[in-house]
Amino acid sequence: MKKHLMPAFRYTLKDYCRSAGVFVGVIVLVMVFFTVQVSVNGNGNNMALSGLATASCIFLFVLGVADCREKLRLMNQFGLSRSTSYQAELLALAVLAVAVAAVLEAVTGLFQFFAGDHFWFYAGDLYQLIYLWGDKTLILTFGQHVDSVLFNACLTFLLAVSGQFFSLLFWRLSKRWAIAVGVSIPVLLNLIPWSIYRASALHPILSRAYTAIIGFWGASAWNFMLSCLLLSAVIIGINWLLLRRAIIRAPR
Amino acid sequence: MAIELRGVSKRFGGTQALNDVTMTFGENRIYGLLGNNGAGKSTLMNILSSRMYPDAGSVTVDGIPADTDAALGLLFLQGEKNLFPDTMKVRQAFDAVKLFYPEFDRVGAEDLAKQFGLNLKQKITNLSTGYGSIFQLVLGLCVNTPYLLLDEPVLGLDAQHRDLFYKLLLRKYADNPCTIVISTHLIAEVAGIIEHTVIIREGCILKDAPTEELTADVRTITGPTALLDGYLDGRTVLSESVIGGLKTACVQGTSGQPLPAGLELGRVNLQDYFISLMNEEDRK
Repeated sequence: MKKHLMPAFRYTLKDYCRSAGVFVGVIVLVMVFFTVQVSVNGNGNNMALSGLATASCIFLFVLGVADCREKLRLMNQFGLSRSTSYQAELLALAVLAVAVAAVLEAVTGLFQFFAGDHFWFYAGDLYQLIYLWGDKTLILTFGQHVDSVLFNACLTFLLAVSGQFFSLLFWRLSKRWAIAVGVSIPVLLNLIPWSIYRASALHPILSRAYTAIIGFWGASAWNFMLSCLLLSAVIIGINWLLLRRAIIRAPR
Repeated sequence: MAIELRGVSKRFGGTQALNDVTMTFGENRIYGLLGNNGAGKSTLMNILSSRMYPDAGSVTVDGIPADTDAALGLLFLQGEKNLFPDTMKVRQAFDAVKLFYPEFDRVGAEDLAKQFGLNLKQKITNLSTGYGSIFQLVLGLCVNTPYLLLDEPVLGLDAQHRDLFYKLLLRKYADNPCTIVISTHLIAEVAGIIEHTVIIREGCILKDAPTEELTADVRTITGPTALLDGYLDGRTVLSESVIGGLKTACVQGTSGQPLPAGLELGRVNLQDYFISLMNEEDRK
């Protein structure tokens, strides 16, 4: 193992954990606030908290965007090669993704436990909504909790490396290209799903492929996790190509 | 044991920053890397520390490719701009450096910070230009790597702090010899420190020799313009200046030769030599 990989990993993870602590703290506060709100207002006001996975996806995406270049600069100053610093970053992100998912799963579990039979207050998560059909009465088994943690971890890790991709892409692009790409992203985000939908409606083969992919993901959480990990691997490869020869310079 | 560059070239758009540079920074010597603005000094430093890659050529540190952990761990670059995060404080940076450079003298760094009046609780990005330089110099002086690269080390430092830095640098070199490369425009200030001078111009190495050797064969000759013009005929003149009726010329290859009466011989310091050389290159 590389001599500096573990110190870099520990340093990066410690830094990430500080941000994650704030994030989890805010999430817990939000949940407590909702609980108090629902308890005070009484029955009849249905309230659902099911966006924790989405929130952690956004958190890790932003972390990927914000921290990628900073760490590369710092690690270069500390005499680390790009490959070692990027490996340390990926390791730290993977551990963080699992840790955040586990903590949020525990928080969700606690709220489900305390909510008990109060169906007007529902705390769930993405895994539960997709794979357990959002059954509000369901108490998750330990295995299902583990699946949920891994599902969220894979999804958030994918978002984190995607964040790195955008950060590195804009690092490498000239100002003109950065503007062009910046404008095209929201356009493509709208256009691509619409195009897929239209194309699959017009062409039976595409329609079958589309249904097959959705079916594959829907059949098991593990299929979705595998897809997330494969896509993450592809993005990591692209990220490496982007940063391999990038000029490491101080921020403007 | 050396940093070796072989055929290193780097181009930025239409500018050839480095052009087929081949040179060696040997063991335990103090090098001065001199050149005008845009000569390629910082590019060279950045390539040595793997902050950028050359378009062609290779760089090795003690025989190891420069872009590896093993090579990068042997050197420390104090650059013009700092690469530390916005939120990091000086003390935190010292802690972090210790993680990656086990030889870092943490106690010594705090002592130097005190001598310079550097506040350990301040965020690095909030430091003034001078204190930003001091922060990096403190790291450089205490990191104890075999190679220390200083790019404009005294940028923004007042005269008192510059003097203190040069003294500390010499003390560090005496106590713990290492290879130090100083890239600077303040030639007169480092002239007494540097043992070996590398002059770079438009991406090419113009001179690469011991400092004494460079200036040994060059003299200034001062005297009445008409008399001096006659003497200079057929000699290698690096630069000339006229003030009133007196002319001063920087001449190569005059040592040991008798001067006509009325002309005065003087030694050339490194800065004058550099300026003369650049003027001569401008004329070409």
